[in-house]
Amino acid sequence: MKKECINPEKLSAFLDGELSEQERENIKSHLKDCQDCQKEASELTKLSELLNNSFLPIEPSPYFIARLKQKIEDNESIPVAITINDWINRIKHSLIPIGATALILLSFVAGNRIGNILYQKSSTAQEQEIYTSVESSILNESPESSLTNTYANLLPEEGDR
Amino acid sequence: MENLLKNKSDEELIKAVANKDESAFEILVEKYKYSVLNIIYRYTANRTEAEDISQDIFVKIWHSADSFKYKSKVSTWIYKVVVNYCLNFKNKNKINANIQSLDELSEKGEIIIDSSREHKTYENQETDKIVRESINKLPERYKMVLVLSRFESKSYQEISEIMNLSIPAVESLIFRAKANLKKVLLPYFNKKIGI
Ligand SMILES: [Zn+2]
Repeated sequence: MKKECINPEKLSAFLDGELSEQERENIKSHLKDCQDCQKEASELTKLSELLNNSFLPIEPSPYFIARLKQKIEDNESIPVAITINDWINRIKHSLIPIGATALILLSFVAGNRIGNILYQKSSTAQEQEIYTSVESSILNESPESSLTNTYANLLPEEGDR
Repeated sequence: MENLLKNKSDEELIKAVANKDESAFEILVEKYKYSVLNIIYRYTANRTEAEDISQDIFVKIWHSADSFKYKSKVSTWIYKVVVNYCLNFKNKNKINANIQSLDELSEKGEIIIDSSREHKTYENQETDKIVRESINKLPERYKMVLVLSRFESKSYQEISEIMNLSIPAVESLIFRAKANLKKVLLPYFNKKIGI
């Protein structure tokens, strides 16, 4: 009697070098006698070879770190969505350019409305908003509300081994 | 100073980065820029975008190193930032997943086209293009597990930690990604080698 065929997910994991010693032994012994599973295994192996030889990695540009540092500096020097106190501190420490200082003074005079306009016009405002909004979900080591988690809950064969 | 830092563990480096130590940050970037860049490159299929996004990822790491809780490996945390960025902000942000054509790539000098137009080179390029396109068309999560597993050689255990999935879920996603690609790529591949 022919033993039940290997679950294709397990076969794929086996070819990726995963699974326990026992599972691996069972798969090896089934593969010896089953042409169907041999065919599936050989197709998966062919696919891996094709992937290994395509889409080769790239090198970071020589300016990677220099551009990164520039981005950080730009990011830190463009005031986005910061509080009035921060502004005052920045002015006290003369950390912002004179032009920006003039704008802030203007916003003091005109109140929050102009402040809001400035916020919207800032080129990195959107980016900053993303940073702030993801901080809690992404940067926690176990984001409970992440999409990946939601997806995990949708998968049929959930459960730890 | 730099030499001393080079022998530090990732945990020590991230702690220094949290205290705004630029030398420690540079060492951390040096260490991870290659894999961060290539995960994003394989995910977006766009070199320019990949470099840009990689830098955004490191900016984020610079700003949030102090939120690292030492519950996981630093590498897992870094890959988690990458994966979440790619998966959650694909539509909102700049990842457009428009695959670059071979012509575009060769114009930018990213693919060196042999002037003699050797048959083999041409075929390799064509294969490469078809592989890129097929991967790019995969559903986002299939694509990400495949990139981490096949191109970054991450174990299912590591992928499960990076993506907050159970190991059976990773196993299933990887198989589905492969089954998808197998259907598209193998007929082409078999035809090419004359089966
Ligand atoms: Zn079988």
